[in-house]
Amino acid sequence: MPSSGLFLNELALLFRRRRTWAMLLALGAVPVLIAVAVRLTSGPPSGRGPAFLDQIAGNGLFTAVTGLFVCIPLFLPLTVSVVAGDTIAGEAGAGTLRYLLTSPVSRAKLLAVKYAVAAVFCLSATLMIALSGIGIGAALFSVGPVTLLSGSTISAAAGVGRVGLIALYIALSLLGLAALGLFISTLTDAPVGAMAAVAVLAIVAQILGQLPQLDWLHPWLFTNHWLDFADLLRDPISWSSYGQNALLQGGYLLVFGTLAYGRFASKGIVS
Amino acid sequence: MKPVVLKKWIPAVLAPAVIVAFAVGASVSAKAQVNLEPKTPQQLLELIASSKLTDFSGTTTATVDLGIPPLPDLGGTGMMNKPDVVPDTPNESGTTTSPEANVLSALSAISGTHEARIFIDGPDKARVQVMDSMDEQDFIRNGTTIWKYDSSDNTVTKGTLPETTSMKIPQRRGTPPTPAELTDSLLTLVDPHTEMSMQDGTRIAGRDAYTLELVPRSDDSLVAKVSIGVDAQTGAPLQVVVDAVDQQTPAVSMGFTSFTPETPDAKLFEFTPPAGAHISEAKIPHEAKSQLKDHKNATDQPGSAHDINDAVHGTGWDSVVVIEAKDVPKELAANEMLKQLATPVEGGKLLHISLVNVLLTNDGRMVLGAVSLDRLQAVANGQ
Repeated sequence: MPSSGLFLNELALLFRRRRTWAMLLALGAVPVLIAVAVRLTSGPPSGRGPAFLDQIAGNGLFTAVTGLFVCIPLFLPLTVSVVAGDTIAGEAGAGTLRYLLTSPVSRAKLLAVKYAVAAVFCLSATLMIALSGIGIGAALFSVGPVTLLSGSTISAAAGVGRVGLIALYIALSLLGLAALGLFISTLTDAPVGAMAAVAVLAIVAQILGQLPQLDWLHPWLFTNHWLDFADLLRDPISWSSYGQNALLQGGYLLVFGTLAYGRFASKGIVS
Repeated sequence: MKPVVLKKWIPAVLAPAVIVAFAVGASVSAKAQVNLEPKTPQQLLELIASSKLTDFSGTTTATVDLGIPPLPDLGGTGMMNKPDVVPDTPNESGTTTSPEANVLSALSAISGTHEARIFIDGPDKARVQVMDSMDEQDFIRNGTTIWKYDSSDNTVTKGTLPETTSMKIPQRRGTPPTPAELTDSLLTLVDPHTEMSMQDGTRIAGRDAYTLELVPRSDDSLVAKVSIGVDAQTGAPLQVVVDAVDQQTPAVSMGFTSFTPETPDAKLFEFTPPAGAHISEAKIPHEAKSQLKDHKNATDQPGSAHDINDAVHGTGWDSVVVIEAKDVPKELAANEMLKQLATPVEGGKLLHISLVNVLLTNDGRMVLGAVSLDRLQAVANGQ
């Protein structure tokens, strides 16, 4: 079986699961909640609440940005932990890993496919929030030209493009966490344990990132650039955080991808 | 384990090794000696002075370490109001007016790391973008029109400069000056008080650079040394690092992280206030002298031009400024935060931040300078 067939198979498996859709719908509900709350009240005073919240009433597109911002610290890492922690441990726990390995696919390829599926989920999750935010923002508020952080104004279409870039950026930000999840998933046959461990690591990394005493560690935390997406709302766009983030996530993918391979390829599969 | 099994772990061992090699390689090549045509300090100063570079853009970072412990949040400007701001970012938009909050926001606006993008096109077009995590402040000058935009409260301030002035973008609290501006002011100190020497060339913002080191010829100065990195190709100052006497990390480190000696896009200097922004006009004094006449109206911060001219003692690095009790702003003298930070010494209280010592004498005067406590006390007693 060629690996593209396996990939589509695994992808279909992920999106046939009710759990996957429950998580995506929950993520999509976040911008809706925010928009309805802003609509029903007079809106927060300027400068309070999450970033960009005060701009939603003026421009519905900011619902998507605020939604993404609110989801980054907890909701997105949580859902990615579930998917990434499940990759191998889920199969092992359900006793299906043996059968999966009887197909003529190398274990390395199987790992790569599992990771690619998790990466697709990262992108679907952020796009879900972005699309839901744009949709509900357009329904409840006016959508017009967007004021960037630099004070320049761009058209609404270009604004949608920026929201798309932010969704891509955040999906990229989650790739390191997904690689970490893949590795932890090879360590255990209990998927729930793997999911919990990954989620905890995501929170711990963010807490460490808040401590000024650990300055030296911050550049090595996979959460370090999670909130830097505002650089995409400047004029001209500041691409340096995109590049640094890609390098960081790539490093995590390299380290934990190879660790996962070492563990998975050398492990005796009995279940 | 069997050798076959061990083989599977080879990539996992190699991956971190590759990353470490890259990280080490990057830091080695950053520190690698750069071979440049040797120059004397004098020749380097001429290179700077003869620099014809008028158009450039780049990203700068400024790191300021005041040598005081991180300050606690005192409501008003802290996390309660702005959960979107991480604690170490500056927040000078605080609308609360208590003196504690003002001092805090001033200190936090100065210390820490700030990033700004700078676009310069000739002497009369400039744009500085001070970037915070979720906000940005823009300072734009296009001919005689200047704009300030603050995204945190969506406000625009517009001003018009008199025709003849060659004033640069007005410096506001929290705006890092460009390396060129800082170097200019530092080079005026180059006189018999200072020992100048050339250090090994380095790479700054990916460009070969000369390093000029200035060491004060003074036992009292709090400044250990000042290093200036100068672009070998254009003569533009790229980096300024100021080391304090008893501090391991530099007190001030400011420099370009990327630098492009080309004319920036002209559109950057055209600013149209965004819809819905609060626009206010700022009055700009025509001459510095008119500022003196308006002294009472002007901000009553210590050390405005008027005070300094009257009260400087000593020269060069050893200069000490004495502010008489009547001129010390009351809110500053009564400030609880300052009182807690200050340590009692003979003759008053000492406030020490990396490069500056401030002596609040018992009779209410304020004596300050980038010098040791001994010298401050000597000046205070000498009057």
